[in-house]
Amino acid sequence: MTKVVRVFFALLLAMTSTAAMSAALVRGIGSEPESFDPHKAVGTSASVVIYDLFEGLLTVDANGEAAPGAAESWSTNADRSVYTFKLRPNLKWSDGTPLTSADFVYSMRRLLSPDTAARYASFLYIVKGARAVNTQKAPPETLAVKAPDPRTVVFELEGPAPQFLEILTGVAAVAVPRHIIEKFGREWTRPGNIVSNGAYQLVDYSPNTLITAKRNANFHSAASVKIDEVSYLPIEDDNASLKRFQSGELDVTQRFPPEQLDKLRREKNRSLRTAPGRGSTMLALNTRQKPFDDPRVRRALALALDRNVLTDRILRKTAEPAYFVVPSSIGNYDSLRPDWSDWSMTERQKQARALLSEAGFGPGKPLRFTMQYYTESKTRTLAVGMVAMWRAIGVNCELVNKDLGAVISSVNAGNYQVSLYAWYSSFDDPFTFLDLFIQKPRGSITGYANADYDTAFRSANRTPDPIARAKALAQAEALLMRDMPAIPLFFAEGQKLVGPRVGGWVDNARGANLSRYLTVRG
Amino acid sequence: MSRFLLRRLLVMIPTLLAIVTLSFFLMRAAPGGPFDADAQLEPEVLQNLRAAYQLDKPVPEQFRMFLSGVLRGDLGPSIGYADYSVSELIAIGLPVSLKLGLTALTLAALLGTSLGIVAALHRNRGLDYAISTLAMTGIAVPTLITAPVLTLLFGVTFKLLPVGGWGDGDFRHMALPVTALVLPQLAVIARLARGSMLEVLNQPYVRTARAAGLPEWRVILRHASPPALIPLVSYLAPAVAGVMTGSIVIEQIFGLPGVGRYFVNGALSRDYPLVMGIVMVYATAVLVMNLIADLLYGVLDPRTRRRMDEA
Repeated sequence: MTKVVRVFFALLLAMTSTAAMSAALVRGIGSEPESFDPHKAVGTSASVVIYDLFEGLLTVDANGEAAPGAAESWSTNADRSVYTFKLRPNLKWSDGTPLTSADFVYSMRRLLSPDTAARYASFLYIVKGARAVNTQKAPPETLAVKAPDPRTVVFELEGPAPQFLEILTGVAAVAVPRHIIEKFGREWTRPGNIVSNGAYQLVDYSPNTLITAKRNANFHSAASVKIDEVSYLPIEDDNASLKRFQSGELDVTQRFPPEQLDKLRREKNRSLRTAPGRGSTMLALNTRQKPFDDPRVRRALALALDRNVLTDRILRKTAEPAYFVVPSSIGNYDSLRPDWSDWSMTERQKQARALLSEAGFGPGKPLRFTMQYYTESKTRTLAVGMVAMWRAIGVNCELVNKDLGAVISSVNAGNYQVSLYAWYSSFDDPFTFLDLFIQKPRGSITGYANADYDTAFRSANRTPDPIARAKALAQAEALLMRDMPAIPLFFAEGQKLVGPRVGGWVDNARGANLSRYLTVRG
Repeated sequence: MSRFLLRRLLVMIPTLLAIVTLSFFLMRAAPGGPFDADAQLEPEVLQNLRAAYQLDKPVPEQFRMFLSGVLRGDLGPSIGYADYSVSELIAIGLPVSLKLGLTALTLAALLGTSLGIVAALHRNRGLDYAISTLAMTGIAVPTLITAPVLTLLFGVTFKLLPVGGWGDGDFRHMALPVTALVLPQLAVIARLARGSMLEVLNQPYVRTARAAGLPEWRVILRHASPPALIPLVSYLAPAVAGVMTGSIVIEQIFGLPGVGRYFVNGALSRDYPLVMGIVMVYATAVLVMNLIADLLYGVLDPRTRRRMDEA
């Protein structure tokens, strides 16, 4: 019997001893990254890994701000349409191969080549010749990115673009290794093949289980990198993610069940970290169809929604009420707040009823429509809340629930009446939000077509002076908000759980915390 | 017997084709497409993406290409896991799902039949009631509940076992997911075994065996058990496929890298090639398992064997 007991305890000991901590950082990253190829990857979980593995001319610093990456300095011409970057001296890939400006030229050509089919290629359309290359109208060599010497990269743009530096911080604009890609083809990102130029290099990967990266000794600032090994665990399930964080297995995670929020807020060691987010949640209105072709109807619906109820009571103060589409966390940019945002709800409802009756709707002929929403935390409660707010002004709204893919595809196809819609940008610039509403070959998300807005946005966006540009863009946004093709609802904050072992963590709106700036207690 | 086998194998081909055809067109009929989650892609970029995965061709043409790919053993590239082909992903995920499912089912079968037989032998006594209550609870409480409770208890509270993940597929990582998978199967099997054992125990040949003075253990193991196992076989074979698919939930909760997780992610992100590949694997598994069940009937029941030979 004693033998049995001894065996049992030996087993127990064996089970628990492996839990002893090593000085590696373990990050929970939500969904499985689609790819480690920076030109094929999409979404936040992939970008966490790619930011650690690869570096562009610019990168982000510990505070999430744009900062020098592979380039140590840069200059631009007077109207900001030509950018010249000087690379740091002696840059190397993780295998020791020298990294030169030719690598950046290759990377940009590959990003824009139609064969790569990169989703983020369009961000670089601002470079002269990029659109033609991406649509097979011109060979990649015609792209206006040049390497006059091994340490200089020159970009010639279609026009003035002060936001270009911000675009270069994106994950798609990093350098990719030509010598490896040409050697291994599609399998170049496999551990053993992959070579990168960031603070870390990929050493191990089993899909849906574990990604492991080790410090890259050939990184230009390798001496400042404190954590030797980083593991990334793809965990989609919110509950599992929280439990694995609580059991100490994960140091960082962005997934947890929203109903645990209050409990996490009350925690003594405050693992919950928040920052204003770069997401804008809105209701897209299909302006191609009646009754939403009438701006009075659109304004009435916008006026009747009490955003404070949505953000404070339903979202429990995890979001900021929105009266314009560009998130307030976008730096060096101030949206113009509409006057009605300060009115009382009674005043707003009165005005909404008046607008509706002008548009021909009233007690005898109530406005009826269907609103679609996708399943995500609290979206149902939000939708039901908005239906109730509209009922107060005599509007009947029916709800339809679909999965996110179905919602987005019906919005893209213009096959809806009102739809919940969210737009995120990793760039610290308003342009991607405002660009949603300009006329495009296949129509904007709401079918909104206003040549005045298009002109206002395009000319504002190409203003060389950053301050004048921000002002002009805000004017364009105000014009858009008078027409209200989409109703701004709120800007959700970014939430992460950061464990007590992690140091150097700075919450930031970009939501980027590169492992190279962090420390971990053993 | 061999003619029976041959005929059944031949019937599998049109069945598989029907399943694959139906799934292919159902997948395409589902609203949305693989590149929707990216929201507003520029039309030029979308065109490049669709061309890269041949989605710009008409659907019947895509189906023809898919079928000819399957015949060549090529399931195409995955859309959602851009660096991998579908065959590679199945080769990575299937061993995990199989190990998980088969371990669970073997345990469930062994424990379940033993419990069922014990319950039948103690019919309407304390032990029987205890086992039946346990079985009913196992059936009534869904995995969706037992799995999180198990992780909370052994992972978070006592910190004895990892809360999730697969590690190297070692005992520690398998313990909780296998337990969660075993419980409902165990319960069903125990109930089935008890019921059929009770029926067999009332058969004249059992009475004859007892009357002939055979020891009780011999009566049970040699004469009563094999026929009592027949209903179990018809349950177990499809259950192998069921456990493989049923582990989809478990794989999701415990974050295990099996095919079930690829299946769910693939379906949600409209990764057509990946979903089709896994549908083929599951469909083949169900068909093969049903065939095996039929063959086992023959082994366990002489009457069925004769009918197969005549066929």
